[in-house]
Amino acid sequence: MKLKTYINIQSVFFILVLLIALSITLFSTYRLAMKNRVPECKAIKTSFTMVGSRRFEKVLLISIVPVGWHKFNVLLNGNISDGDKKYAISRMMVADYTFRDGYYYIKILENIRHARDSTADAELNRQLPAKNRVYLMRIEKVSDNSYIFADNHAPLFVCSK
Amino acid sequence: MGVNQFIAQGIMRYIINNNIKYHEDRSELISLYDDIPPIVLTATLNRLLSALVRNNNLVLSRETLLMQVWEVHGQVASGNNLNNTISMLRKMFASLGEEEIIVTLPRQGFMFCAKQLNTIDDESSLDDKPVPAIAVQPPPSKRGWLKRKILLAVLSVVAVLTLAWAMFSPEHASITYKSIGVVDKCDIRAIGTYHLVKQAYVNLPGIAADIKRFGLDCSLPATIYYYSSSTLHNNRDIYNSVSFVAYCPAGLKKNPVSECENFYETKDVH
Repeated sequence: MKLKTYINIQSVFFILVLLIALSITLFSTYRLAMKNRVPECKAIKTSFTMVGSRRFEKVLLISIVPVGWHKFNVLLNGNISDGDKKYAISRMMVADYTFRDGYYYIKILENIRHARDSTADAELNRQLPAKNRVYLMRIEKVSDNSYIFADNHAPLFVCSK
Repeated sequence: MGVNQFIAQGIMRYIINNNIKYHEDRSELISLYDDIPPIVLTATLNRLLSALVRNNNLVLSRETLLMQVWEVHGQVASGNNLNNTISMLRKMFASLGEEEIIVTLPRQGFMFCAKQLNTIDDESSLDDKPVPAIAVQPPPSKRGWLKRKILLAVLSVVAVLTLAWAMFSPEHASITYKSIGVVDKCDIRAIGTYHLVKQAYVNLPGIAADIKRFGLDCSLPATIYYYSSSTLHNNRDIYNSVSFVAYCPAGLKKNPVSECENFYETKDVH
């Protein structure tokens, strides 16, 4: 005995178009979610800061590495001078963020200091991002591979891919 | 399905909704479950049912049915004949538990709507046991199709809109700046992320001095992104004033800005 099954062409067409529409929607949503990610980039930044009578000079190589969903690591390597004294900076910060109305709300979750990091002074550490601090930031595109990071006070650095 | 195709097909036996066996060759409708005698169809009823079953879930116009069932067989075709014959078939199916298997579509024709329809083309299967049926996607009703079409239209519109949004919205906002002059071969651009720069407060010789102080080379083409809180007001004694310089040497045409060096200076002035 053989059985023949009648396939409804309209149903097949409906399912096909439905799948295409859903695929496009999912793809577009994914693209949109990926659009406002913190970019992977690096920068060299020299800072001169006066705190009372103390003058700090800081030279940092900053690397921003996105990891996972709305999380990124900041690698800081360089040194900071307090008058004649010089200290090494070598640490990694783990941060998460939310993007809302053009602003990134960034929270430092972890501050991992490496062995060669020699900044012990509290005032020196105040010059660097610290755990649980929240930063409000804008990220704007300078060129195809460069972005400027600015807090609500002033631009901080231009980084490149 | 046209007349020729209808004629070309052999005589078939069908299991309708796993409930009724239709012997086209014997002109009989047999219940698979109830112990009742087979319903014998007249030649006209048999031809009409055959045409309907062979076009399951397809609309057959009145004209097609009149031609296939009556005219081709040399009988007089009339709308009343068709209506009466359809009515008789409906009653037969209703007596076998299939109430609405023949659907009238106003101004279109008739449609046979079996949810499951299997053909048997092997004599060995002609015992009266029910045949395990393969599930066939039942055709949705007219209202169901309307719902499906609306759903499809809405989803398509959502898909197109999200695709357009995803494709055309910028990944990041572009930098806001104002060109405020040149120092040697350096193009100085005042950054305006948060504030508009007042040209009157721009101190180009002061910027040139900063460039020199930071040891930057403007003998080669470069772009300098500059910001100073002093460009926002004329109060030079503001507490915690900030200057920022990003020195970006000119790169290749493809990538006009190469890696930049950043300088950030705060002056704790009281």
